[in-house]
This record gives sequence, C-alpha cells and structure tokens, in this order.
Amino acid sequence: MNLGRTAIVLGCAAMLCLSGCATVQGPNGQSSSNDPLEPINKPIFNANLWLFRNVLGPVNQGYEAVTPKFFRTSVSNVFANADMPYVFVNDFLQGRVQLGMSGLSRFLVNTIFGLGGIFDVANKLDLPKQSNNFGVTLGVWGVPQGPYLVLPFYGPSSLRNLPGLALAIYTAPPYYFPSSNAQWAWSGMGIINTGHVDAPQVRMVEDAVNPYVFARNAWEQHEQFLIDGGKVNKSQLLEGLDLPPATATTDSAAATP
Amino acid sequence: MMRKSRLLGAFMAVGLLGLGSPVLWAADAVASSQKAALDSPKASIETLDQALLQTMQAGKAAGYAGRYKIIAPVLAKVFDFDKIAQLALGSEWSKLSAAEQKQFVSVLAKYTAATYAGRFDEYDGERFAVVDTQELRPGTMGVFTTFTMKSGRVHRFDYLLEQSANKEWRVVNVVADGVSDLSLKRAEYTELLKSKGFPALLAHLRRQIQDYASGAKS
Repeated sequence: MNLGRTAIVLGCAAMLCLSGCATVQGPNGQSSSNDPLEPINKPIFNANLWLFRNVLGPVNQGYEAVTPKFFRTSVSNVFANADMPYVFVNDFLQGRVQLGMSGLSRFLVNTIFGLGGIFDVANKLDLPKQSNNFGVTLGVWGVPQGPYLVLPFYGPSSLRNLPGLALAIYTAPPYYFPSSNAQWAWSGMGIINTGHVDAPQVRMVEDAVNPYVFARNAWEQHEQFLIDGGKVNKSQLLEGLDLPPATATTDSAAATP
Repeated sequence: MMRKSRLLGAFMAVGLLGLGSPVLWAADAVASSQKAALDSPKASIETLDQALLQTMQAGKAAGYAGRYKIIAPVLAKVFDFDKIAQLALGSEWSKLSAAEQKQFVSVLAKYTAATYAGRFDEYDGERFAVVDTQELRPGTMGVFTTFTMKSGRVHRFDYLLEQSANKEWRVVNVVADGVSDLSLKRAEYTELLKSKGFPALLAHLRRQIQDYASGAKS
C-alpha cells in the first residue's frame, strides 16, 4: 500500500470514526453485557473526544470562518456522493434491490449531472441519501454484533463491523485515484468535512450525562434500526414504556427498560 | 420571512420592541393552535411539529430566550413529563422523596425545552410529516413521522403517546432514527444516580440548561 492509499485508509478511518461518534445507539439502554472491552474502549473514546475538542473542533471553526456556506455544502455533497458506492453495494448485499437501485441511481445522477456530486441533483428526483454499512449487511444475514468496540480516530464500532472498514476503503472512488497527492488532498479535505458535518452530533454526545454510555447505546440502537430496514416496530416502541422491576442492579444493566 | 424577522430583531435590540415581534407572533400562533390540538395522537404531534417549525423559523434573530418562549409551553402541554421522569429513572424513581420527584420533573421539563430551544435555532426548508398512526395497545398510540431536510435526507421521528385522564394524548417517548430517548435517559440517569446520587444528576441538568441559556451551547 503506497502513501496515498495509506492516506485514504487513515482519512476514511477518521471520517468513519467521527461519524460513529455522532450516531451512537443500543436497544433498551443496553448494558455493559455487550461491552466486555469497556476498560479498553473508554480511554480510546475519551481520546477521540479530546481530539475532536482540541483539533477537529478548532479546525472546523476556522473552516466555517473562511468559507461561505455554499462551499461547505458543496464539499459535503461531494463526500456524501463518494460514500454512495459503499451504501448501494451493501443494499444489494442485503437483498434490498430497490434501495440499491435507488442508491446507484443517486450516485450516477449526482456524478454526471451534479458535476461529481457538487450539486445534489438526485435529491430533486426523490433519490434521498441513505445510511448503510457492511456491519449492517452482516447483521441482516444473522451475524451477531459481537463485543462493542471503540476504535482510535474512528469511534463506536463492533467486531461485526470491522470487515466493513476494508470494504469502505475499496469502494471509495479516491482509492482509485492515480495520484498520491490527490489522495492526500482528498483525505485531508475529508477530515475537515467530517469535523464540520459531525460537529453537532459530537456536541450531543459531549452534553450527555455519561457520554460513553450515551454513545454506546445510541450507536447500538441505530445499527439495529438500519438492520431492521429503517423501521421501528411496535414492540420496540413499547419497550421503553413499562417500568423495570423494582430491584436495582449495580450497573447500567438496570437501565434496560 | 427571515429578513423580516431580522429587521424586527434589530428593532428589539434598540428598544422598539412591541407586539409585532416575530417571537410573540409565533408564541400567539402556537398558543391558539394548541387549544384544541391534543384530542388525537396525530393532532398532538402536529402541534409539536408546528411549534418546532416556528422555533426554527424564529431562528437566531429571536435568540435563545425567544425560541424558549415558543417551544417551552408547547412541550409542557404535549409531553407527559411526570411519566417520562418516572420511566427515565426506572426503579430509582421510587427511592426519591415526593419533593425530589417533583423537583426532577420540573428540571427535566426545563432541560428538554432548553435543548430544543438551543438546537432548533435555524430554518432551512425542513419539513415534518406524519406518515402513520397505530394503536399499540389500549390507550397507547404510536405516531410515525418523517423529518425531511433541505438536502432531501429523511430522518424518522417516531412517538409513543399515552392518553391522560383528561383524554389528551401526550408524548412519553421519542425514537429518532431508531434511537430511543427514553432508553438513553434511563441508562445514563440511573447510572449517575447510583454512582453519584440525585444532587449530581440535578446539577448536571441545571448546568446544561445554564449553558444553553448563556450561549455556551447551541
């Protein structure tokens, strides 16, 4: 792997990491039962938040100060478009053909008519962006989540999601850029864009009473939501309604509704 | 609309504030619309969505205090904070004294309003839509909605509502893109209660409210 490819890997990892920070979950206020690696995960989680607070956050403030909104929107459109192959490939792997075709159409429309994704033309054709990843694909096919993980620079993940990192890299168009400089430039801009796009969600995590627990539960719940095809069923909605037994346990397992 | 709001905001800043303020217009509109609005689960959610849109449209020109004035009374009406507080604290709820329970409900309501006023601070063409309602069990309904951003990205906001004694439908949980607010709260709050006690939980929520009010958060 040459330097450019390494840059892509690191760039993608950082982007995915921080977006992971932003979109946490876990059904029923899930407990540490699925988090045997908490003693390792927690310091990594705190380091990721520190990095965001002290590096990416200030970089984002500078980015917002020196660029107009339409520029930032165009940049985030381009990166969102570059994510689309990873999204629709996973749609097809999950057997969700209609979603996959929608994602493929979105990618082609925005690449061709949106000038490489600068303009989100597909949005006007009712082809909205979806979220997806290979961990969800494995979940759809019945692979259990495995232990919850927090990856350096990357954020919430799980054993099931690890193979998806490689797929994300190989399906990202910049992997096929012929020039290492272009790949470095792409990765750098991608990190800045991630800091910009994910800043509000990271702030939500920081505001939580217990950011680590919040991030883990939210990430796990959202992952399950994607596995279920973006639907919340009746039992999930009712799950939070009934009070737990009066006997409290000693950890957050008692938090499970 | 935004230009008008900003102009009126400027008038407010120089002391020419009158009944023409967009904040007061919005608050009036919300107050009048909510009078007959909780008689069905769908109506309750539409009342909430309307208030959220008005909060966003009031935007930065209205300031945090202006947005808080719009959204807080609607949340107090549409959300069943007594029930939410009870569910969020789970088995810890019964360990609190009546005074502590009352105090927690009050702070939770203020914290929720502060969060909404702090975060719903600009409008960029977003729209809400109720896509389905379902009876989950007698007296309990699910209302399934979408929040579509200008970018076309669609988020799901699904609500769990219960019918109160006065026949009004009130929200007890919000599930955003599959993430249950109640389960997050329960996991966090109960853990903090056990590790640091009730005063620490209250102090955390009050600090968050203060940060929103002072502009340290947005």
